[in-house]
Amino acid sequence: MSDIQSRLVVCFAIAFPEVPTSAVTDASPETVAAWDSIGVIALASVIEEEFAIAFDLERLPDLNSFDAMRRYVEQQVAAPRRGDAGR
Amino acid sequence: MRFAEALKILQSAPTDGAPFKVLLGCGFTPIHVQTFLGAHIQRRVRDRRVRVIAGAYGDAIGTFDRQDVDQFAACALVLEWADLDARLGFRRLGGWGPGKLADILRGAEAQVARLTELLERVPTHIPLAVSLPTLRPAPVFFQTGWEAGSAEFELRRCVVPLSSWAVGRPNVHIVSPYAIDQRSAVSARLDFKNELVAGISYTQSHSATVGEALANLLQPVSPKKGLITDLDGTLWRGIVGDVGVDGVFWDLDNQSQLHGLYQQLLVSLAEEGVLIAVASRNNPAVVGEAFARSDMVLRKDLVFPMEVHWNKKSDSVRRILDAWNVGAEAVVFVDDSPMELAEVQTAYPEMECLPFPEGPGDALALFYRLRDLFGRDRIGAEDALRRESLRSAAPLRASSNATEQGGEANTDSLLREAEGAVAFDFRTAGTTPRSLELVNKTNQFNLNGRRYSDADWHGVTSDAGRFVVSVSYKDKFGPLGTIAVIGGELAGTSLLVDLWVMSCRAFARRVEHRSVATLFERFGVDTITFDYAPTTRNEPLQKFFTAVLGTSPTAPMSVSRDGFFAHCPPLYHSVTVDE
Repeated sequence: MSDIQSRLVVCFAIAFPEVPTSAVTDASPETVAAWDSIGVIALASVIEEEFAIAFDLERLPDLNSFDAMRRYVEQQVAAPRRGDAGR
Repeated sequence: MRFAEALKILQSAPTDGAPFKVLLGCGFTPIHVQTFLGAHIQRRVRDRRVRVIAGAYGDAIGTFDRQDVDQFAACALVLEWADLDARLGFRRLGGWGPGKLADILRGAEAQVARLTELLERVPTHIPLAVSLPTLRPAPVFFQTGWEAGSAEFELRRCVVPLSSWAVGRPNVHIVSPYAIDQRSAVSARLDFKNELVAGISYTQSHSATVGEALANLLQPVSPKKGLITDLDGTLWRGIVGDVGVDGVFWDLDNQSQLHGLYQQLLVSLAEEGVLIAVASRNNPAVVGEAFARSDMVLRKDLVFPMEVHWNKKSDSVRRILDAWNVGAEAVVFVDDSPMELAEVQTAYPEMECLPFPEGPGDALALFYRLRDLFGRDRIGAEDALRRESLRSAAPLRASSNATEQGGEANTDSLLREAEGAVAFDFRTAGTTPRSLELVNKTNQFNLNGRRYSDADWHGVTSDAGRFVVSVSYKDKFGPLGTIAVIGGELAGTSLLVDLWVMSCRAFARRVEHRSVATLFERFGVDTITFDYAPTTRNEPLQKFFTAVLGTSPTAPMSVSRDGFFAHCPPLYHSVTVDE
C-alpha cells in the first residue's frame, strides 16, 4: 500500500468511523451512508489537513469513490503549489 | 485544534452518555463551526454525548423561531452580515447600487429587531453565545475601501441594540471581537471560493476560532483561584538584596513599567477575589521594607501568605497551597527564573507555571493570559471575602492539623470562642447563581464530583420533589458567605442526598457536621443515604465520612442518626433555617 493510500485510509476512518478499515478502499456514496453532501465535505477537510492541499470542492461530485479520491490527492500532492486567492 | 482531531473528540464521546444538545444558528454551511464547537464542548463535558444541531441553511435567525430551544442544553448563534440582508453577502444578486443602501440598512435593522425578539424566548437557564459579524460586508459601499462611510457606520449601528439587550441577561454572552481579531486575521476569514461552491463562508481556521470562542462562553473553564508570584525580576526590576530597597523599580522613569503594570494587574485580580501570595528566596526584613514603600502598587494587605526565606521555591508553594487549601491545578505560578519555574513545575505538574518575560511583547501576552486564566462571568460577594476568610482560618486550620497529628488540641476552645453562625437557606438556594458556581467548582469536599450545566441545574432545582439548600457561615472574624450547597430528596423515612459541596474556606469549622445534624433535624429521618462516589480530589470529604462512620465510605452509603450523633464532635454554632 502506498504512503498516500495508507494515509487516505486513515482520513476515511476519521470522517466515516462506521466503515471498517478493511472496507475503506471499496468506499463510495453507495456503500457509505454518511457519504452525503456534508459528509464528503468533512472528508475533504480531513484530507486537506493531512496532505496540506486545498481541496477543490467543485470536483467533489466526480470524486465518488476511494480510488477517485486517491488519484485526486496524488495529483494535488505532485502538482506545484499555486496561490489560491481568497483561501 | 485540527478538524480531524475535532471529529475524533466527538467520536470518542461515551455512547451511553446523556445527550448534551447544542442548538446552532448559522446561515452558511455549518459543518466546520459545528464540529469545532461540539469538540470543544465535548472536552469539557466528558461524560456527556455532545450533539450540535444546526438550523436551516440561509436562515440563522429563523433557527430560533422554528426550534424548541427548551430541549437544548445551550444555544449558539453565528451571525454574519448576510443574515441581516442577503445583499451583504455573495450568494444573491439583489444589487449593490447606492439606491439599495437605504433599503439594506432598513432590512438589517428590522432583522436585528426580529432576532432580539426571538432570542428573548431563550429561557434564562439556557446559556446563549453569540458571535457578531466577523466578515467584511460585500462591497456595497460607494466609498473607497480606505474610508468608513456613513452607510458602513449605520450598518455597524444596526447590531448595537443586540449587544445592549445581551448586557442585561446573565445567560447571554457575546464573543469579544478582540479575541477573534487576535487569533484570526481578517484577510483569512472568508473562504470565498467555497462560499460560492458550497456555501461555506468561513475558512477552516476561522471556523476553529469562532467554534472555540463560542464553546468558551457556553462551557467556560473554571477560573484559577490563586496566583503565586516571585519578587526580584518579576514584581519589580532588580534584586532587592543586592541593590537595596530604593534600587528596585516598577515605573516608566526607570524603564521598568512592565513590573508596575504587573502589580496593577495583581491588585485588580485580588480585588476580584483571586488569592495572591508571594514566594521569594530573599531576606524577609528587606522585602518587608520594600513593601512598605509608599509607591508600591501591590499593597501588602492584598498578599496572603508571604513566603520569604531561603528554602526551596517548591517548599514555599506547598505551604501556600496548604494555607489556601486549594489544589495545585487551580493555581498559577509566575517567576522570571527558568530554574525556579522548572523546580516548581516538577513538584506540581498540574500547576500553570508562567515565566515573567523580559520583553514588552511577551509581557503583554502574559497579562492577557492571566486575564483569561482568572476571568469569570460575575464577581460575587463571596469573592471579596475569600482572602480575609483564609487569613482568619489559619489559626483554626493549624489547630485542626495539630489535633490530627496528636498535638495540643485547642480546636474546641477556638471554635467555642469564634461565635460561629450557620444559616441554611432552603428558599432561594436554587435560584442564586452562587449555588451552581459552588457546585461546579468545588473539588475537595464534593460528594461525587458531579457537574451540572445551567439546564441540568434548572431541572434539579425546579423539581418539586427535591430540595436544595445553601449554607452560609460567619463568625467574629467576619462572614464567609455561601460556602456549601446540599441537594436531594425525601424517600419515605430516609433522606437521599446526591449533591453536597462545601468550599475549602469553611474547613475546620465543623460546618459539615452541623449540616448533617440539621438535615436529620429538619427532615426528621433516622437515616440519610449519600450518593457518594470517590474522586481523585475528594479526600477531605472521604476523611469526614471515615470519622463519622468509623470506617472508609463506600458507594452509596447510609448514615444513621444514632451513629452520626455518637461520632459528632461538639458543635458551637448558632443556627438559622430559612424555609
